[in-house]
Amino acid sequence: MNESGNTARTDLLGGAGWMAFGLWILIEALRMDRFKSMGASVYTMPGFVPGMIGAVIIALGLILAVRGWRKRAATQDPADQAEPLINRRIALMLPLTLVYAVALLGRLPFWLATALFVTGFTWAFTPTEQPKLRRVITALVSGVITTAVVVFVFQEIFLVRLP
Amino acid sequence: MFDGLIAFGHSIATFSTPTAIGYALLASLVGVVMGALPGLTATMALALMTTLTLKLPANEALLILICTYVGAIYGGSRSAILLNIPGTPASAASCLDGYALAKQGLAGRAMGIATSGSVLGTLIGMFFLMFFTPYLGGMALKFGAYEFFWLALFGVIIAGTLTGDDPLKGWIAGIGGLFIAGIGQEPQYGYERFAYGVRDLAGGIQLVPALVGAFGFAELLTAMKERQLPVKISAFDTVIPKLGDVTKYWRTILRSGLIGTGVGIVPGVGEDVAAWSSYAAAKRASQEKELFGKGSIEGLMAAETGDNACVPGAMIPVLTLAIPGSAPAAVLMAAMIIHGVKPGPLIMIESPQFVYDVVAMMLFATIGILIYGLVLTKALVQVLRVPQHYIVPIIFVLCAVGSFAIAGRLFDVYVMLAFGLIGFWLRHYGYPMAPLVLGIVLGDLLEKNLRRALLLSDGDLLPFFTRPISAVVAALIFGTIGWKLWSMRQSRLKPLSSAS
Repeated sequence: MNESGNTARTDLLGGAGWMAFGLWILIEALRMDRFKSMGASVYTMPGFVPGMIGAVIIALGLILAVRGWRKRAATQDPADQAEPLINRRIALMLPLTLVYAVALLGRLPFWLATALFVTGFTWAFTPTEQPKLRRVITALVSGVITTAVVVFVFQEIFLVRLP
Repeated sequence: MFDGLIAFGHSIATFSTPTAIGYALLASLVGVVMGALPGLTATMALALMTTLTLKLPANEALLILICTYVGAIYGGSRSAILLNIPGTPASAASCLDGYALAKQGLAGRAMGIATSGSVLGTLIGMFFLMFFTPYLGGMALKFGAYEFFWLALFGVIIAGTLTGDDPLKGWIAGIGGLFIAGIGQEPQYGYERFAYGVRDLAGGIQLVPALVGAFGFAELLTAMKERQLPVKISAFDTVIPKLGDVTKYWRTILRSGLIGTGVGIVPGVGEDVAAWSSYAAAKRASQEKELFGKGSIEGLMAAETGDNACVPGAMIPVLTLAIPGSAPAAVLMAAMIIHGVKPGPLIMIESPQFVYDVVAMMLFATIGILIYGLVLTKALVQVLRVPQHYIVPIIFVLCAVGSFAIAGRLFDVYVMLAFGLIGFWLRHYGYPMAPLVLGIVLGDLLEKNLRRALLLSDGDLLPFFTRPISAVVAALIFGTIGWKLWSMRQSRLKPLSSAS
């Protein structure tokens, strides 16, 4: 298996994806108001630069897709498979971080949301070989200390508003 | 020249207050620690510190950021030498000989070489920053819309070419950055582009939350993907640099300092390229080529001098052209703008003292890394023993708080999350982040100058190629693209011909 996500197949699919993205930009750019009644020339129209960017992305996507296609035809190596983007650790980390940033921040007091997140995260990723009680205590201590330091440093020293 | 020295002396006097010295020492320490920790880069450290220093006066905030920047580039060498893992991409070249020296029981000497190389590299870069910025600033005054358009595009294309393994993906990332910069109200008619009625999006994507996401959250996800192996730190001898190492390799130090500064000046390239270029040049010129990769003092000295010389070098285009020389410099430029400093061709007219202030800030940062390199190395390397699962949630909290702090709205936290996820996805498939950042930073400059230039020439493309500086930069861009596409074609044809 390929160590990264770089394979002929991902190049081919990526190229197709970029072409679709570029096409979307180009279509949206063409649909933008042209301000002709205000005397706008082609170069001052809001869609001029995005349209060019869209066209360049289509061209680069095409080159990438063609390269992937040729590489794929040249190498029929079954081992040429990309490492998956999301493994078990990422599958655990993503919900934790997303819940903290989207669901907890702004809804719970900052100190509570942060203490819950740091404690939960530390507990979830502490190696399971450690004794259960030690895992819980170290996670709790980490959560409390982090929250106290962040609140103190941001709010009291640097006078930054917290969520 | 003497005016410059007097202005520099004035800047040093300005920063010689207990508060400023305290900030400089603290920020250098934060930089060294963040740079030393694998997975946390200088760009991430700067993005986080930008949010923390929002409420401070401009001079103090920028002093903190520059000290963090210099500290982080230097700090990366600690883990490169002790763990064979570069703390920042800039230290990747230091792994080759630094770790080999550590395996020979010479980790302390290797760290001493890294300290002396980093300090001397920064000093060489500072020299050029101090004496060349005014001249380049004067030259930049002659630049018009055509030149600025090409320079912005040059930054994106060169960053795309040199900062990843695949130039094609680098260019896609850079052009993607230009697209992101165009989201929100456009400057001419206030027309909302790609906002779809979302009020927060109509104001555009704020640079700092996007950077914190792309360099912070995305890096955390990448670092957490693999379980951290138990850290084994080699025992080390004295970390005091040997004068003999410096005097013996003075040519290498000077050459690497010049290369590092030069690479820094080229828009969008960065410290990692500076380190590798200096390392390669040192190997070519060395009388001890066979030692390179096996514990060469000269190789380590070259890499460390080169990457740290790049830091002041990268500030030269920031100050004179408002075009960053590297990804961390892009964050620094954004911070300058947030704090009301206007980098660009007019800086030597509107606020010439600021250029010397930046040089003085670099000097304070250099003193900071020298102190930590000599005194605190043994204590600092203990940071490398802290398990990932304690550090990552703390950094993520800082990413969220920092993004919120910019404008006090949760929307920026969501921007940080979105860019983190996009960055993680792109990185996995081999798309480098530096061109994306350069694209976001330079998008506005590119669009405004392209439109202005076309209006001036009434749609005629000829002036883009006939004005001398424009012609040179355009030739460099097209030459680079053509050369890379040709190389890709050659590398594709080679296996086919060898198979037949």
